[in-house]
Amino acid sequence: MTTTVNSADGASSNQPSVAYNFAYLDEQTKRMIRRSILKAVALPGYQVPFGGREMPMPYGWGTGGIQVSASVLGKHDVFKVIDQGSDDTTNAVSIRSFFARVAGVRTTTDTEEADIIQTRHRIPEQPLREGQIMVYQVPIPEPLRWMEPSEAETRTLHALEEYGVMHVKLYEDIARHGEIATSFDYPVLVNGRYVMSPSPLPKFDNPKMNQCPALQLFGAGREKRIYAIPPYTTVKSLDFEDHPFAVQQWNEPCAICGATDSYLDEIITDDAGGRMFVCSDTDHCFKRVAGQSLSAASDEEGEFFTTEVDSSVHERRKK
Amino acid sequence: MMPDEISRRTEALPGEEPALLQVEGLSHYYGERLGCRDISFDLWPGEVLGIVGESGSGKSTLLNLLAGRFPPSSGTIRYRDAEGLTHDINSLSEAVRRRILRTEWGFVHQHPRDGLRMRVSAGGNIGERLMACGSRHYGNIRSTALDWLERVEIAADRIDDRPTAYSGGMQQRLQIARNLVSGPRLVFMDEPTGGLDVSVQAKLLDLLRQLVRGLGLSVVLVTHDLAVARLLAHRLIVMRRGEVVESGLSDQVLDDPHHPYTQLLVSSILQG
Amino acid sequence: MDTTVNEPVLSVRGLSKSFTLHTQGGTVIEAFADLDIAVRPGECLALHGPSGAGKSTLLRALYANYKPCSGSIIVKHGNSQVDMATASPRAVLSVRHSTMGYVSQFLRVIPRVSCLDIVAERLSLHGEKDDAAREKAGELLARLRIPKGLWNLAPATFSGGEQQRVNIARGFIRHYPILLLDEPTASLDAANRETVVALIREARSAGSAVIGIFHDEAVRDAVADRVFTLRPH
Repeated sequence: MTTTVNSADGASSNQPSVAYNFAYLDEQTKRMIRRSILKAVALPGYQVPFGGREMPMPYGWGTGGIQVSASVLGKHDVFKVIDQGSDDTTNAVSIRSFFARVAGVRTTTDTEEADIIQTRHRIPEQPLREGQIMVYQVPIPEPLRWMEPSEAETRTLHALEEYGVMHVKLYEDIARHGEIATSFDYPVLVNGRYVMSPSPLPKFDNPKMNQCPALQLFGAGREKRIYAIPPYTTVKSLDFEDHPFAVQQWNEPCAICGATDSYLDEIITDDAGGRMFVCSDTDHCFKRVAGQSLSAASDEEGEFFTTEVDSSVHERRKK
Repeated sequence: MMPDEISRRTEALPGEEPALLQVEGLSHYYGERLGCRDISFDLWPGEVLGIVGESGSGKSTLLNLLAGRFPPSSGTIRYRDAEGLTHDINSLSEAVRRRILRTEWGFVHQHPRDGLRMRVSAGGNIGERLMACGSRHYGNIRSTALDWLERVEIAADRIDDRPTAYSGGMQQRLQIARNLVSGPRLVFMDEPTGGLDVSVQAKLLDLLRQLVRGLGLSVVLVTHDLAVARLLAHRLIVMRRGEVVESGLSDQVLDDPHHPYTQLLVSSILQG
Repeated sequence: MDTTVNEPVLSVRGLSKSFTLHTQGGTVIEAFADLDIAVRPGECLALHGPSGAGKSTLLRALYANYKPCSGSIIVKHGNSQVDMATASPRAVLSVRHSTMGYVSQFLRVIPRVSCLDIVAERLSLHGEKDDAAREKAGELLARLRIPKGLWNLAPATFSGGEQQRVNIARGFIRHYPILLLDEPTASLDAANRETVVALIREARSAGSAVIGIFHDEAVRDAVADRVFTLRPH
């Protein structure tokens, strides 16, 4: 790779080291993907096929999301990647550095600052704003697949709005567990028309998709499907009248920042069954701690949380 | 009075609804090979029509044509829906055809696994049609499912078991419940007792007979078992090599068969 | 008085029946030919003739169980007339449902259905409530001396006489304007024979036209007012 030398190389580590087109994909491909995105935006929740390209990473690592990001990324956009809510897991780091290299864009971990946020499992806790784009990496785009193995049949079911089978799945949950136990990839009805899979998102994040000011794009690389939720679209989680949709709740606050309203990950702390619950959204958690430290310092009430504790906990989580 | 006039006059019995299904000149070819040829009949509300004949006689082809599973080479099938509108089954849009199929029709397959979701509990199997028709109350769906399990004589505590844990006879009864739960008007049955032991057959037959009578269902029943045909069907069509060779009142066809083929069928299958 | 009372409820004209046995080289067996019969409400016609003369075949033809080769069987069915020889299956079933009852020699048993329900079904099919229908069925079974212990059993295991009485109960549980009886007393003891005779008389006084085959001369004399003789071919 380093054999190709150009004048810009070395001047900035953010510049592409080889002569890739901006954001890796060629312009024709990006144009084709943008057309699919436009169609997806026009038909909220509808899965639009697209000619997915081979990416320099295996399927399952976010190839769908990367192609969508590459197609919507502009030179001045600020890019953020999260994986399980965290900015510094291997997958998040490698995708972030990929775009830093092939597009030379500025990257960030700050949700507020980001223009494009590519994600695998979470929607940030901080409310999104207009102008932002969420890009979701989707492993299995078809919500009906669990009930119906035939692709031709699922397309017909979508076309004719025959979504009874989706409720059969929820019925089975209640029959088996006494409640709707599906906690990830919980199906939603978009704009009152298409039933959509929110990828491996925890159902905790489902309400954030509803009337969201940001544009939400979903890319499935292996299955070559793109779908979208335009800003301010109604997104309803499916449920029963007598078993309404509800999000997960925790009995304790985040062990680091004390948040009681965020999505918590369970962290095993030792071999003796010790465990703690901490925010899955690291940016959110760090910001809260920073705020608390400031106020704690100003109140002179002593140590609250040190950044050392923070980083060690989040380090452990990465394993 | 001429006999013809009399029979014509009695054809449309006073105060009765018009025919549910009107079949005219129905033919189907699989390429060069004949599936069935020039079949015509009317099916009336509450009537059970048996289609009998040996395997390969075109019974199943006819049943699949009637249920709109594939289009015939020629001929028409008209269905009168619950609102009294008459539809040409083969010029229906896919959406309307499927709506009719899951609300007003039922299809009981010979092999229960063709008609059941084997990975879904019995309750979910029965509830599916309700949910497809818009039911969104878990408690109501479940109590309806329990009611239907009782009607098909399956113990209530089996409601959360998957059909894979059921015997063949129970699977078949579950399939029937799954079909009847939405109150269909017309049910197609393809050898519903075909794969079952004789003792289990008797129970299923009796159950079918009760349900069909109690609900006033119209049924098109394909069977090669003449005893089943006699017990369930009001009227029979005898098929051979894709054509109808004889038709009429069930007991008349079976006790006084006219066509050589029917006589052969009756004398060789029906003992005592 | 209703002026239609004395019109026949059943008129048979030129009725012929033969069987062509295709499986046996096309042998033709003639059962009867060119029969004319008329039966009025309250009448009882006994079919007479040696064994093989076609008596049972005639009853079956009247019930449209056998299809005649020629002739007509006009039945007064409600306010209309139906030719059982040519009527559509639906029309035949409608006549059997409300106008014409038939007691065959043998009970064709339905698996698993109790004898009480077999009898009561005839009433519930006409809209009677299940409980009321069962009660009436029980009364008639008691009259025909079917032990109460058997009522809830399927009649498959019953003796010939018991099955025959269940069959009779089924035929007499409700009023049919026309009643066809094929040897109703054949395998019954004297006491039950008396009960059947009484039932037939009650049916006649209620206006039923009865056509029957009565092997027992005493029974025939007790119930029939006319005899129609068939000769063997």
